[in-house]
Amino acid sequence: MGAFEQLTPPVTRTQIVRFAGAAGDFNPMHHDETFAQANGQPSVFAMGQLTAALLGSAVTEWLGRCNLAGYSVRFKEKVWPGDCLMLTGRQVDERRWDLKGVREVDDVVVVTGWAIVRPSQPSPPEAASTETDGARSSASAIRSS
Amino acid sequence: MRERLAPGLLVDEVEFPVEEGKVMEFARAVGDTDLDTAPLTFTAVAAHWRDQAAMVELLGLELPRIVIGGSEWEYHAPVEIGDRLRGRRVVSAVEEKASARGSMTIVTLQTHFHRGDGALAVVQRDTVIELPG
Repeated sequence: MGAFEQLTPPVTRTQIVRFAGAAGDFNPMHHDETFAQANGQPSVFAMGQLTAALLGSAVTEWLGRCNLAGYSVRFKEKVWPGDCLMLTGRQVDERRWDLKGVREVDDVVVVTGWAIVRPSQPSPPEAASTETDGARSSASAIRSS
Repeated sequence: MRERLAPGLLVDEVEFPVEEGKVMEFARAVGDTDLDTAPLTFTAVAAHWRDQAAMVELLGLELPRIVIGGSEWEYHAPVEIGDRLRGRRVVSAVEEKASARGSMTIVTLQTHFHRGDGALAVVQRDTVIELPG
């Protein structure tokens, strides 16, 4: 059974703002320090979708995006500026990987999840190479199987 | 308001292009280096085309008590730069849960994203939790 682990660089306020713009999440809790502190938080913190996307990038790197049939995350704790996340994946059966993200500074689990890879495919028949849109046809073949 | 909150309720429908700049911006924000297709969680960008305040009002939830519990994606067909995505978001489950601090509401929102060619590309499910008041 396989496994991977990857340590992220520290999450920065700039990265949070960059992701806010990319994803369209303008909840001020994530970019406005004054607002966040007025609402009882020590500082701004990362949106769950940023954590999901960071873990998703690690999953993509290790398992390959086109091999994935599903990806799921549950948010457990906040991720703060300065946090480095240890992202890990552990294969539990042929298709399922259990995922976890841990704050390096205090070992607190911030996210858990899973990824499901597609069933392994037999080698494509010779005729497939004559298709004009190879990527799309192999994807629909996977989908219909 | 709250009585409308039931499985099947249509929350919103959006349609948007999968632009090269947006894919690059999203990928670079999260250290994703595979730019051949859209990142795993790219459908989050639908937020640019949605009115989240209207969603919260439609569901009858109290914004300050809302947290996102998690998200899930099913991948059916690849999403590439140049595609258009149509997303239809509905309430797929509503659960009331008792806790020591009172009752909380767990709402699952499900969005089917179809490509311009009609193929189902991605199904996303988000768990929205309204904490006890």
